[in-house]
Amino acid sequence: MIIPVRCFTCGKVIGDKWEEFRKATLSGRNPAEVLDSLGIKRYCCRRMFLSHIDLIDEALQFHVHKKEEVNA
Amino acid sequence: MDVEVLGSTNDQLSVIFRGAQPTFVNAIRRIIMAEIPIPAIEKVYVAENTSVLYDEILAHRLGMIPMRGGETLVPPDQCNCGGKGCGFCESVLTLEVEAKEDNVVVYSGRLKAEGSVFPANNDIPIVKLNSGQKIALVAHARLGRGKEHAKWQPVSACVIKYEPVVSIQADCDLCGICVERCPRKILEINENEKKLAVRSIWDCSLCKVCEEVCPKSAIKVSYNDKTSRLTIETTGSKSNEELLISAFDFLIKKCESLKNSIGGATNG
Ligand SMILES: [Zn+2]
Ligand SMILES: [Zn+2]
Repeated sequence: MIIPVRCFTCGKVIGDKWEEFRKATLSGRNPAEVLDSLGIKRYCCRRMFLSHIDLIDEALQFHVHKKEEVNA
Repeated sequence: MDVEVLGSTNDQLSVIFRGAQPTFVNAIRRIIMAEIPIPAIEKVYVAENTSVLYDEILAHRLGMIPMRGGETLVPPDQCNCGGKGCGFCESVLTLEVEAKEDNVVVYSGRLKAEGSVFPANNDIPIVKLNSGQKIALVAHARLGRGKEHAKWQPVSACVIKYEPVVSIQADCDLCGICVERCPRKILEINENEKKLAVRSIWDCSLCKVCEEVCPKSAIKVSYNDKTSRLTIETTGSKSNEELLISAFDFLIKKCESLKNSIGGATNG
């Protein structure tokens, strides 16, 4: 849904690094390099980034805007 | 016992204990993980939540955010309220956001501290809102210990490792196979002295690949359990140095209470 606050396995805080990771990988950088530069060393934390899909963006599309509701 | 700081970054600290029993270093490690009280959000009262995340998910995410402060808080089990929660053992934070546009990310920095507890990290996304969506909630943080719930564990990784010992025998002919095959690349051939040398001994993972590939069996890997390295990685609630010092204080206190209870038993 949304990036977890912490790594499921070791508990390292990873939520704050997601947006930087996403930006860098979308611009074409190698994910392994980006994770190294973010200081994500263990593979438990690295899989949190590599396997994450931000489904909250999909869920948000189903939100009916309040204003539109009023107009309808 | 001899203590030496091997390296320290913002979130990680490596300390070498020379001449200490591994059990002793492990006691320090376990105290850091399970016994040092830090604050974390325990109760969340949701007034309004029209976001796409359920109240429970929101509360769980808030609980996982590392918190700082709370030095003046009383541990709930010692509080006059009997652990129910009151102004002395709990600190209040509020969060109220109404999105005016789409895709507004609510970060942990938006949590407003009413008491002494505040988020250690201001950049953790809590939820994403579209225009018109609103969350309004009151969160109560209290002190707790890692043995109660992982959110009160002040460290993520906290590990000890024995000192690896790589000994090179005199019949080494500098063939260089081990230098090439070592997965951690800790070996090198010193051209000046014509000797095989170990570059960074603490990087050795004791995999013994060098032992296996050496045609002359001139290299041996073992470990010295009288020297251990403790690596602490804080989540942000307390600095690594603070954690290490409070762990020693706690161990001393525990030993003293043991001494007192044994003394009491023999006297009585
Ligand atoms: Zn991890
Ligand atoms: Zn109380």
